[in-house]
Amino acid sequence: MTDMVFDAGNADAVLRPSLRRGGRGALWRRRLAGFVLVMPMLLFSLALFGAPLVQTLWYAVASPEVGESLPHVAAQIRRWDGEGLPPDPVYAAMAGDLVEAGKTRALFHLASRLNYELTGARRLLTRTETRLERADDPPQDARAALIAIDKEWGQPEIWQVVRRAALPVTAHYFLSAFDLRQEPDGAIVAAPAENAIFLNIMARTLWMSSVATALALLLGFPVAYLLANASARWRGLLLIPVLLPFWVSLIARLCAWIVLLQKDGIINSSLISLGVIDSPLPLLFNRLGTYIAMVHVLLPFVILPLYSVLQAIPPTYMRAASSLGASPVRAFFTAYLPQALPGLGAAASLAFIISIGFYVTQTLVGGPKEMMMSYFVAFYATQTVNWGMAAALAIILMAITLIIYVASKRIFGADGAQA
Amino acid sequence: MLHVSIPPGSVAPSMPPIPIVRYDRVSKSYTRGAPVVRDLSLDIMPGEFLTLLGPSGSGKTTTLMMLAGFDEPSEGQIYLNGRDLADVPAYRRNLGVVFQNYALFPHLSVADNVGYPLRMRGIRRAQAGEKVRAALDMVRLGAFAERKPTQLSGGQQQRVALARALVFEPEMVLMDEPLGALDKQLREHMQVEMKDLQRRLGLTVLYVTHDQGEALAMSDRVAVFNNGQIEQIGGPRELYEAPLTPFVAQFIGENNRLCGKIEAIKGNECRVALEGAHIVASPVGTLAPGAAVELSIRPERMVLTAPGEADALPASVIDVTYLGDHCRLRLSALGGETLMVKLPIQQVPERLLPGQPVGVRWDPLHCRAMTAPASAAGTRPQQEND
Repeated sequence: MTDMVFDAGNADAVLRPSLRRGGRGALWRRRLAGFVLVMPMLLFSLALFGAPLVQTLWYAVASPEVGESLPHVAAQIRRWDGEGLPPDPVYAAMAGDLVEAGKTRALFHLASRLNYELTGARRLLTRTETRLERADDPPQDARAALIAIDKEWGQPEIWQVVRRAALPVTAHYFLSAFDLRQEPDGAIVAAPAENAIFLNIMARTLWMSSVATALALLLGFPVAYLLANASARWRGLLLIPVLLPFWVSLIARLCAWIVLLQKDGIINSSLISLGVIDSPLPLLFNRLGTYIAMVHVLLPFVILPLYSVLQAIPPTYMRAASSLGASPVRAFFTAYLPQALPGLGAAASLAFIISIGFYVTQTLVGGPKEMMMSYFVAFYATQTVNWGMAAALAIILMAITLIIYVASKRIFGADGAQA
Repeated sequence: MLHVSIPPGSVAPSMPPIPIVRYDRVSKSYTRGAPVVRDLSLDIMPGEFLTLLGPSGSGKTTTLMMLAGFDEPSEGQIYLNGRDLADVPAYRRNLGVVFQNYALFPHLSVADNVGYPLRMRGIRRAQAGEKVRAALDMVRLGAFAERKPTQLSGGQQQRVALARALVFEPEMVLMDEPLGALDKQLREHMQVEMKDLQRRLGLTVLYVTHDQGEALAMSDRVAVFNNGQIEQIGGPRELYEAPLTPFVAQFIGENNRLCGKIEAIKGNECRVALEGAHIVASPVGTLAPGAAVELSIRPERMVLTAPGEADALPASVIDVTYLGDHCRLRLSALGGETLMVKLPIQQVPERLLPGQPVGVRWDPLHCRAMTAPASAAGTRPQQEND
């Protein structure tokens, strides 16, 4: 049996088959054990991360409302080519389905959904449904009846919107997230000014994250440098304040900031009693307060990766630069900093990725002008129950994260690997 | 080029030869522990290759780093061309330093590494490019200019470091164990190459190593360091043939050590009593009868004789090791002492078996009697030569 399994030329295998076989079995057992150990985590991630992710992706493009609440219309309107007005069977199906939908909450969802795309659609649908229900009998001439209720039914727009919404997927939410809308005739145009807020929010999110990241890097680099070059004892002492925030909950830290920064808080009252200022500085519920709290959260995430990279740069490089005629400042910028770039890149991308997802911080210490994308994800998901919009924004947020991650890998990862 | 300006009046009167570097009673101690360098005075002459040799922790690297400007003397002054270096920062000293691990900047190409000191001195690009090319040609790496240091072998990196330390025409070159990271063969090759370069360019070199072979092969003078002090300084031959202390005898080359007491001194010969024998030796320094001494005899100065021959020490063979060009014998003599004998191959008797009685003899001139160190343990060097 061993001859069949093992190459006869392999002396080791021929001489010690039992040992080999034992080794194989052991290897399998080890693999199995490893797999079993990983299983809980794997299942946990799949159930609580993978599945919601897929579902969110689907919500961002799904368009189930017409199919669910107007099943006959959905079936009939597929046969219409979209030119002019739809044929009679579509009108008939609409009259029938609307009454049915009115008996459940389906009409509400449908009305909201169509209203996103065509302002006034909500009113049109509810009004029509009420009138039809009051009429009791299904109308003989559905087309005439509907148009009699509202002239809109005689215009192609509502039908074009229904026809597009009857498709299983829609680009509506993503278009909205980029301040675009699709006209009933299919043309993609800029959204009206009162709805065009998302590009602004996206820019604000990216800008505020960049500023917070830059501030965290500026403040964190000297600390990381000190940590990397301190003696073991000092390093231990220095690490405590760096790691301390990890042991305190975010909410508690934010509340502490509120105590410190508020109008009659510790900072303002001490500045006033010292005579530095006359009236309290606005430190809270604005951009400044948000940056202070954000940077505080980001610092450990900047310092620790930087420290691990700076620690690996031997001090000989600074000495070498110095012996070659570089003043300490020049030596730092020409010999030290270029070698710290991979660490800076890693720290910056980590801080930025964390920043763009900030939510609690702005909610507690920021004002309305500090709200970033994650706030609007929560807003659409919990306040207006517009899952499509929440999902689309969340997906865009995730895409930005992925792009930054890949870009930083490309830029810093490839150059950074110097070995 | 950056010139260290020498204020008039601070220069020693121009009576040749003027040392390029003078350590004047320099000490270095840290807050904790014994001083690393004690009361060191040393002159480095222009154009000389001076090596600081010693075991690790003997203060040789600290001595070099104080000249380079990376360590400050606790006491004493260091002068470069007559100028006190106390207030001159490292980057204004204009000294080429080659570090143990080369410290080539990994983010710069070979050419940019070599051009770095020129860039720091604001030399125009075209002129700098020429100098870089010349420096790389000098170390025969002209074809590697665009590579990154990590793409070079250890020996090539070493040569880049050398080119970088020389390209700006420094006052002198300091090297801290520059060959330490290379394998034996490459090291020997680089020794020849560096010595050749030093001679050709007339460079002044301060070289630090713990490898006595390296020190002997390259240096004009060697300063042997022990416990922060120079134990002996001199030419390689002088150090090897005429060590002044047991430490130097032990650290440079191999030797047989025997402990005894002076019985009598007559001219440049003395009689030393050992356990069960009396040996005639050359006294080193001032010795008085009764003084405890250590005898040092180099293994290659010993001659094998027939057993019982007059003037020969009776011994028996422990073993023989054949090494191609010579043989090493270990002999047992004087009631348990082991003697190492190095014989050229043609002087090895045909049949030499373990346990065989033989005689061993040497010229008293090569048997040096030196004051035994007070506590032998403290000054005994760890042999690090390979």
